Amino acid sequence: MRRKVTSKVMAVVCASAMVVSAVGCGAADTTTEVADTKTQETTTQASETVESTVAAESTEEKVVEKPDSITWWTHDGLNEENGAEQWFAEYENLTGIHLDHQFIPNNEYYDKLKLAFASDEVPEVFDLNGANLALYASQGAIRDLTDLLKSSGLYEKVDPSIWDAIAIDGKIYAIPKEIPSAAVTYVRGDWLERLGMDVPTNYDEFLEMIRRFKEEIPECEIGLTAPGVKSEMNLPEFYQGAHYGFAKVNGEWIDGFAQPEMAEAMQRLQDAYKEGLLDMEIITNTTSTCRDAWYEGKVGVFNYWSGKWGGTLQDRLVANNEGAVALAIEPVDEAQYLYATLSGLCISSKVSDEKAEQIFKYFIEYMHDGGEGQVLFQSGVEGVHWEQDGDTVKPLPNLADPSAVTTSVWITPWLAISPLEVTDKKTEVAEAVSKSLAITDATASQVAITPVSTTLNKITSDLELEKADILAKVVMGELTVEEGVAAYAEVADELNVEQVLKELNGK
Amino acid sequence: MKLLNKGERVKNTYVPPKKSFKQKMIDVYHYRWFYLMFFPVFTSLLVFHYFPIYGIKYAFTDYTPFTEPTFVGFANFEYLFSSKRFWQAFRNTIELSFIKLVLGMVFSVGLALLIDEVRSVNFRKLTQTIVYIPHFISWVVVASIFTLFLSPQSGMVNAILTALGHEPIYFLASDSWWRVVFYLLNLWKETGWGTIIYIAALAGVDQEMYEAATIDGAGHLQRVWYISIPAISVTILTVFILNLAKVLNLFDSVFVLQNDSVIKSSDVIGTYVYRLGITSADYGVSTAAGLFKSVISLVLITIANWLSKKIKGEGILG
Repeated sequence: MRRKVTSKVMAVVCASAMVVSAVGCGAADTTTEVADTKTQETTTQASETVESTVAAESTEEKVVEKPDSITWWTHDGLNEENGAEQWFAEYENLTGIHLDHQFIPNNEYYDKLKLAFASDEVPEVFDLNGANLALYASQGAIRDLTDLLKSSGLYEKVDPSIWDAIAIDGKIYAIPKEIPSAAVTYVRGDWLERLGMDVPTNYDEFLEMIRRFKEEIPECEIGLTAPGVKSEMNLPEFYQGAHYGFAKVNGEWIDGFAQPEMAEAMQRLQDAYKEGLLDMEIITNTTSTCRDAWYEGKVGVFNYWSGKWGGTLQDRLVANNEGAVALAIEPVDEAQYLYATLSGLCISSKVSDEKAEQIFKYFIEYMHDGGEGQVLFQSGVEGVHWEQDGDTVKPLPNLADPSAVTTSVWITPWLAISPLEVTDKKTEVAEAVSKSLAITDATASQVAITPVSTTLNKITSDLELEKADILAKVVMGELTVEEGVAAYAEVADELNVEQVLKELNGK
Repeated sequence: MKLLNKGERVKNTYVPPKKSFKQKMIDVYHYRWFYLMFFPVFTSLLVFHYFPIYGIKYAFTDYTPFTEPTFVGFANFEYLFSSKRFWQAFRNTIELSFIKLVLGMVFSVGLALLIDEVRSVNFRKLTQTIVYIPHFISWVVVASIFTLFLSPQSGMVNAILTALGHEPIYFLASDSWWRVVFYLLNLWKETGWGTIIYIAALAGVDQEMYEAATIDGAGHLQRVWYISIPAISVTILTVFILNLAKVLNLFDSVFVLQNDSVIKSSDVIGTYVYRLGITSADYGVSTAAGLFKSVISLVLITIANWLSKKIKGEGILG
């Protein structure tokens, strides 16, 4: 009898355990919901600040009602461990709008977003990068925000080149949270000094510098490192204006890989690889392996993001190598620094006209309002992420890692698309950050977003595979440049790249 | 011809007596706790394995996440079958899978035979634990570890090669070496795990046969060759057929080791479908490729089962 009871209990326990484990994946969401509900309850007495600010702008303006909530997906910015809950509570406190937010790990973001569309569970606001923006716009998945933008004050406040860079066929589908980062070349300034060399100003001097690093600096195991060879942004000295993908040149879309400039770039890369100036493992490198090698102090040259990363590359390098200097240099004469393709916040096309207007006004415009909203999106919550210090915002220690400070939450203050209008919320920028930033601000170019072509969408997967294979084999010396060019011509013909160009150029 | 009575056994074959519906329900009630335990598994099978089969309809549609699917007949298959890249991925899948399968079986059986010979119980347990561990390490971690080991600049393997006077080899970026590395990593990771079922089968071999063979003068290798291997041959065949069903499911191990230099020689159907689905958001063609893969798997398993019936007189699929 006792045995029978034990068996029954075990059966129920086993079945329950399996059911619980099966639904375990959903547990986090449930917790979030509970937390969200709590937040909603505690912040029902919403401040009227935003409403009054917006209302004050113009009495004739159409009154846009506040939405109760907005669903927002992110894959970067503030995380839970660093006070995200307090931030959302503060947003609700200031605006009276509940943000139903979901953080998606970066590497899963685009997969999950596509699945959300496929299963009709799309968030109202989400961000898209350049490559995806054109695809989503062409499929009618996101709203055209041009009219909303132009009728708002935001359009006038922002540099027109930003709108030009993010426009697709003259329409704006996304509002950038911030100006994209550009990549700048960092060299070991202390090694230059040891060798009595000046900063290189042209390609020959640049190669000579790497050569001498390799030959005369015992610690220099890798001359120049990069995560792969496909990025013209990370290898500007070798690409020298050549394009790996489709590019807009003099108002016309061209196939960059088929141009003579690309053949010349391949030759330069092949020669440098053969001579041992490039990282031998450049093909299999990832950005993290490159960064680690730089921090260890065994790399002479590394092209990476300007701004915040300039400070990080310097700090981490000097932590392991006393006296080391990560020196951001001006581009050599032949090279062109580039900004990353713009990304921006989009509103789903499944959202009604009325809701889209509400989201634009109380979420997107609010984060660029030059005052309270922008401070909240840039620096976070007072007392949690920053404190007032004279007329500046002094970042507080990071909640997750008290050895660091929180310099930005959703918008990097020095990359804001429009400046703060309030004068008592200035941000101090470290020298290592501002130096590299000054170089890219002065020299880097924006890259236009490639519009969608039905044929390109169909062949992208095959075309990218072939190009990656040809370039890697040319760089490693398994194919000559001529063989690479011939192989690509055959591929382009087979995949009908000519039709892609016709579609891109609207012919 | 003699008719069997209810419950009567003939040549070890038990013919169950026919039961009425009421009797069956009584049985269900009697075993209700087992049914309760089975329920979550059954539900999960339905939800995650059977219901998704409905999705194969997308193979015949033009479908992206943003648009309603429109029926296009066999257009997606025509596109796939006319693509050089697809057939290349198919060839790579077959080659990589079959060589991996055969090597895996040979090494697993070999290792199981070796472990079976170990007489010290503690040493045997220790060996088994050590060889099982790699199975539990994710492919992402395995790839990271071995990328470091095989680095041409700072890797342990190349340090040894250089010390012996050889030039360093960029293993992961060389078409020929990449495959060797792929097979070796699979062997390192899965051979130990593959031995479990063979060790269990070997444990069931009648010890008296070994004693009799020893008395007859059989040597060590002869006992393995004439007793151990024939004794577990049915198990080997069963495992082979079961693994054959998974033979085209290559993805993780290839994806984490892929790079631009070997992308064409390492591209398999799994990675091909992934690229189509993710970069082009072309769910119709990706589903068609996935369906094609499933059909080939079904054909392979049916052939293997038919062969099993021919050779052994019985198949595992009935």
